[in-house]
Amino acid sequence: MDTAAALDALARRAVSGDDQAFTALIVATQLEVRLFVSARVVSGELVEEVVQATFVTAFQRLATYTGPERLTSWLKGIAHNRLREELRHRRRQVDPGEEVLEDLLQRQRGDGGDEVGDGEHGARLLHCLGRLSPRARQVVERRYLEGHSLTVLAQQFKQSTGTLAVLLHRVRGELRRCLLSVGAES
Amino acid sequence: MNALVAELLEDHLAGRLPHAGQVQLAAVLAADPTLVAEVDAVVVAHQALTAWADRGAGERVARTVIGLRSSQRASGLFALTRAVRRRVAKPRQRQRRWWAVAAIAAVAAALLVGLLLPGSANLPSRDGQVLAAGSTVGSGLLSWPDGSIVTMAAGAQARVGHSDLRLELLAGQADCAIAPQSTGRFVIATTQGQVTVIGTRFRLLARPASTWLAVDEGRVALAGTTDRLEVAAGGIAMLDEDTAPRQLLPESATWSDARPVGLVMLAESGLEGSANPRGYGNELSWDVATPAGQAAVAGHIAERIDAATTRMKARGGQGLIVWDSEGRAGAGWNYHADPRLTQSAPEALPALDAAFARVRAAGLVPGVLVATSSSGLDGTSDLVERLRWARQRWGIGLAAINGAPQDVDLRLVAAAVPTIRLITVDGQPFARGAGYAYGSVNAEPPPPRSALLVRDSDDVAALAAALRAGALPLLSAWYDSPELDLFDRARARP
Repeated sequence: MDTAAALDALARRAVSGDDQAFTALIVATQLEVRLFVSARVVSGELVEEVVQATFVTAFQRLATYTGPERLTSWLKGIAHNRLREELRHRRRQVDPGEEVLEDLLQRQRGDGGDEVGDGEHGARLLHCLGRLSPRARQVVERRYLEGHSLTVLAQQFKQSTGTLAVLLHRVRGELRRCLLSVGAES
Repeated sequence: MNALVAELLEDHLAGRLPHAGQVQLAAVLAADPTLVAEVDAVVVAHQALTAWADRGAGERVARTVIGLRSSQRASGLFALTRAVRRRVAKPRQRQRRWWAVAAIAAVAAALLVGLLLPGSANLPSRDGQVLAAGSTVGSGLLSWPDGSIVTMAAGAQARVGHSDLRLELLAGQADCAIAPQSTGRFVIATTQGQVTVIGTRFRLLARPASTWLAVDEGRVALAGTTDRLEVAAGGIAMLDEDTAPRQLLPESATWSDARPVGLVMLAESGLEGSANPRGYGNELSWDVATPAGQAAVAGHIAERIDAATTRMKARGGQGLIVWDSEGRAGAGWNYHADPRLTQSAPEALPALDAAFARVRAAGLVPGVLVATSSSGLDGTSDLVERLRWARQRWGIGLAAINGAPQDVDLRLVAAAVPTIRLITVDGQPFARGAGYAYGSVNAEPPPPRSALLVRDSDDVAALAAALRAGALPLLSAWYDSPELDLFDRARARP
């Protein structure tokens, strides 16, 4: 059974009340949903909130999912709608400058309904990480996977913290460009 | 993007940019709106990488959603999702896009700081009230929901942080009992660096020029700008702006050199309120606010130190200790014992700079007198900051300690300034060879590693015996004192 079919099977079990299946479904798809949302907003808080709300909605509407083998796209569609709702909601709040900017940013990124389900964000990221130089990749892995601080990285790579900060900044810029270009290609 | 801005941004992304850094970064971005788009792109990539690396995110989301199953039955979808929103009080990393506001609106830095301060997660309480991020607190007890407690000592001041950065200790001592951290970290920052703990007890002291850490239980990481040090229970470490964090090992501090040390007095008490308030040269007629008065003081300092240098060179001395480089205070408080005060003595500082340089050029080690009235770690660090200032300014390698409470560990002081030879002249002993301590010339025999004020004796034979036993003679060298002759005769005895 391939991944999409396996997700469908989990969805069927979750509809019948199997919490373990729904947990497994979330674990299997949350990164894809999170990357989808992360590409559209800058606020980490907003990303977290939209991801959570997406799965709450999915939990409610899972019985309406008809498939086949498009669960991730279906979740991204929910995420897209929740993001729009959230931005609309926030625009009414006391933080107008920030949220208007957030909304603008989202629009600039061409966040239309037809973009929902635009390929595998996780695969894109892995592809772009693979294009980094071995050293840059190593710095990224130690920074993110191993959670080392800049100070520790500076010791490990025998560089100043400033040099490493600039390196990480450039690497993130490269990744962002790569993610956009791969998205355009797909 | 330059390294400084990149580092500030890196700290922000890691959730540990202190208040001052937030203001600095906001100002940079407000001044250069083109950076904002660059930062946006970087943050998006950072979020993607964080999501990629966060293996536990799926389980967290699942727990939240599954846990709300009963709420689903009792309420509509809207209410349910709002419940989730309320539950998301502790997101993994809360980042507001405050720099965009800064660039577009060019608002004041204070407003941006306000936007930076996120919700109530990880905030401490005091007297039952949750403190807001960014608020300043003084002495008293702070408690966190996880059971961690920080007791701020009298005179201490801190700013409440956010996220992993729980507290910025601005000044004074904090006694910390930190509960085991199952998720996240517990970080306390100071001007010079920060400590990261998992669950332990320790004391942290923030001073203007240094940070001090004493670990009582567990392990604590002390990080400076470029280096990080893990300190285990029983360890004491310090960090300043110039060096990496380092652990102080009292047993490592030792020195032994019994060649004579000259003492120099520059001033006299009783001139406070005059035009020569610090009493240099004991001259009421000098007005140190005038060039002529300053020249007179400078000439006096040069003459005394140069003459003392000559006298000590003639006797094979190892160095000179200037007793009152900062001059004198009023009656009853004769010595400041704080050489840093010469910063505000324009009549003396240039002359001292030049004179100490000549002492070094003559092959002698310059020194100063210090004292403290503070106790414990505070007193230890106070002495060290006074000594480090003099070492940086004048290259001192000798110092006399003329007063410190008994709970100030002079061995720690010696370990913190290992290139400075310490002598106590108030009776507090050194242990394990960390320094020489005052002893009586007439004691028979004098205690090991005694420093003798030769002027206390007129007995050549007793002094000769003490010298043969390895005592360190301290000579009044700022004038042709009789004790110089006494010393010469004692040393000449077979």
